[in-house]
Amino acid sequence: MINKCFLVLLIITGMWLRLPVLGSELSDFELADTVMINQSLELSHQFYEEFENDSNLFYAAQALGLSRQLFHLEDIESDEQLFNRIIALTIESYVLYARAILETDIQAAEDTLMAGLNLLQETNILEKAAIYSELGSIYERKGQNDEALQFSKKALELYKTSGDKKSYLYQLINMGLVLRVKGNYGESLEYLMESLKIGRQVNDSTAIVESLLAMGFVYAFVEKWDDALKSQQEALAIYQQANNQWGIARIHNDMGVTYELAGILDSSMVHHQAALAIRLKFNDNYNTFASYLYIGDIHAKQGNIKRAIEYYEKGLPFGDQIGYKIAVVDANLRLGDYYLQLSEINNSMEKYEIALQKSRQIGDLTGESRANMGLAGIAMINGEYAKANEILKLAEKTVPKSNLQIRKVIYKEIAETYFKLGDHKNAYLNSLNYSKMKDSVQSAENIAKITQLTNIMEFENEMALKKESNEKLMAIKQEQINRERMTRNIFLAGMLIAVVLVVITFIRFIEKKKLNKRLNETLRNLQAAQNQLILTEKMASLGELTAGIAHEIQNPLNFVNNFSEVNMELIAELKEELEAGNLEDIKAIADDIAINEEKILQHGKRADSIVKGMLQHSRISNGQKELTDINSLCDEYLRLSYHGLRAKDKSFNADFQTDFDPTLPKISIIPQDIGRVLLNLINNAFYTVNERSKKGETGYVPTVSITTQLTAYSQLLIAVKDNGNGIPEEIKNKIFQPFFTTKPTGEGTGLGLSLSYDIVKAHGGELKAESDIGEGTRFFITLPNSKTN
Amino acid sequence: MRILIVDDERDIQTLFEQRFRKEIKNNELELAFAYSGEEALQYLDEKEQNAILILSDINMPGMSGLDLLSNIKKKYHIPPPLVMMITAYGDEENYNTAMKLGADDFLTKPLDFNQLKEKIKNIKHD
Repeated sequence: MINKCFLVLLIITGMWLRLPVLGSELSDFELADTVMINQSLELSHQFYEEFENDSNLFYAAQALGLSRQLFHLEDIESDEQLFNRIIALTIESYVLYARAILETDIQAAEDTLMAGLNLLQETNILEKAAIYSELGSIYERKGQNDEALQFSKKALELYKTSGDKKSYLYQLINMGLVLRVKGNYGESLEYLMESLKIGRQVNDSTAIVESLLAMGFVYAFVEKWDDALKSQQEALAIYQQANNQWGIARIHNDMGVTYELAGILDSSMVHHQAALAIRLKFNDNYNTFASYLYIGDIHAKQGNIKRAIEYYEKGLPFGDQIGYKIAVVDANLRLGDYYLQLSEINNSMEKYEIALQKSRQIGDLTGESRANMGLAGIAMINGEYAKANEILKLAEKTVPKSNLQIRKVIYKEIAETYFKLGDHKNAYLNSLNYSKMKDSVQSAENIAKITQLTNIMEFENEMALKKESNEKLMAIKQEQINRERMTRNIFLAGMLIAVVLVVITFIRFIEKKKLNKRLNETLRNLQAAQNQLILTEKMASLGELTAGIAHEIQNPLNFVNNFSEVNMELIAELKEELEAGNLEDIKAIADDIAINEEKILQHGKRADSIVKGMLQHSRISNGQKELTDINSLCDEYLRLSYHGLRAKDKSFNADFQTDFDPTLPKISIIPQDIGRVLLNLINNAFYTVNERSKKGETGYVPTVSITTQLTAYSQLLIAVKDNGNGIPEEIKNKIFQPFFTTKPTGEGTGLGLSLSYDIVKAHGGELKAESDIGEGTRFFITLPNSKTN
Repeated sequence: MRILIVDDERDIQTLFEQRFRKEIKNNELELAFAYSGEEALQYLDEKEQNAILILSDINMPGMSGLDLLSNIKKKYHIPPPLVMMITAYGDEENYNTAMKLGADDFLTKPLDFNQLKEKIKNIKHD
């Protein structure tokens, strides 16, 4: 395949070169020469295709000779265009000649290609690459695998640089083949995988098939039969789809070989038969020949030598048609062996003779040695030891030094003939040689085996590494996928969280709204409760007052009643005195009546004001400010408080004193509010002095006093003082706080001072407390001297 | 017969003088007034059991009527003056306390002067 491509390349190059030649201004002889060169090259190629090696070589040599003559003409260099064309033709000639001579003289082919290479300039990359590639093939055939590899690599690099993708692709396959031959199965597979990959990318079915088939044998050589067959079947499918019968036969052949290597002879047979059936339809001598031989060998392996011979005999006429005579020699040798196995001596000898003749014709030294060995063997069977000895000596002369296996056998048989001839010395010497060879062969076999094993191991390692790197790659990809997935997941999670947050925020918003509503409700409830409490506090203080009020009303009422009664008596007396005409007494009685009337009025008013005060007190603070006499307000509430407490607690008693500033002006306040403040402070004062008096201190006189005065700052100061227990330091700050109380549960609302504070503040005044433990407490109400409402 | 009347209401004096106007005129009764418990005790100290009958209010700032009663009954053993307690709060507790402290009588406001006059008449005749 590679060769074909190469040829196509050359032909295309040639055509390109030839076309303009016709229209150029070349001299007649030059034109005649170039035309001749072209003709020779075409013929060479034609014979190459037909495996006519001699004719191929003849025309290639003619083309090369002519092109070299032209090339060496002095005046040719002046015409650059012509010069380049001649160079191209010369190179093509070199290449075709090398290819023609390759079959018989590899060294000559190499030399030719090297000469052609020298003609090339740096710019002729493709030609250079083609030559390198061909050199690689030559070295491969020569068994110089390192060189083969070296040139193949060079070719590959040049193809890569040139950008000729197709050539690069096929050179990759070539590399794979070279490495496979070298036994570097792992490396080979790498190149083939690469070529397969590129082949698939560019959809080059030929490259794909070639890669797969080359890989198939790589797998087969490392005994990975399943992988080998898998590759081959894949290639088969491609050929089947294209209905390429030639290709299908080829793959059946490959699969037959694979099964044969695997030791599955029946399957091998099936495939080889399939290949043969197709090949017989074509005029494909070489491959038909090959198929017959494979089938024959399988029969032989299966123990059916007769059938093996049958197939060999059928195949050989096809072999005679092909140019590759080494194969024909080999086939005759093996056929001779098979006949020998059946003890058909004459047939065997006939085949060995043919092999000898043909090998000599083509200079196949190994074949010649083997043919002689066969003939020697027959001579030995016939008891002709001297003859055998002679023939074997001929064989020894022709066998390549490197072919230890054959030499080993030759020495063994020579020794045997000498032994039979009674020449023990020579028998011994040859036995020694045999032993040496045997050792060498053994070691060579060992080396080969070791190499094989090493190669397989390396393959396995490489595959393992590849698998590992594949796995790594997969892992990396997986990682990437995972990362992407994670990124996506994180994104989704982020979205989800965002949504959740929004929902939560929304829910909380709603809850907050609800909460706000509830809070507002609670606040309203609290405000209502507070109002209720304030009312309760008022009512509580009112309750405290009720008894006091009752007493306060009772007293004036008593006076009113009593004085009225007295007046009635006095009026009755007055009438008596009138009748008696006692003027002095009448006057005295009238004065008394007047005094009593005054008392009645006075106490009536007193009761009236108390009732009014009580009503005012119970009223929720919507009171109007009015000019109020603070002194009388203080006096009124002091009495209310005192009598209230007395009414509540019979054991209660305390002294109270007042010191009112008579110059105090009336100020604008809400009397019932300030009254409540006073009531509160006075109640507290009485409460604390009462508490203290209960301790039974000797000489303690519970006293509450109220003083009023106008301060230097024109403010009204009301001081409520007591000589009670005093307020402990730790609760001094708390006394104005709502609901703070030191009284037992049920006795105080804890709102008294708090409300008082607020009321005073509302009047633009201040409420302050001073206290000393054991001495008492002093509350100071400061009110602005305000006359306005 | 001298009667000491103890009350923080100053108008009580006018009222009593009016009420017992005839008795005072006829020198049957002599009225003295004190406006607090302390004042009453001071009077008794100065006048040395001058008063045969003491009429005292219970609810008074400073020394209450009951304190006064207690003081009088402790101080003046032979013969202790008659003490009549007067209160607007005619409740059991005050009554019991007053009786325990040796009150001779318990009157409630508003005072029934006719009843009071009767009681005084009885004391005089005893």
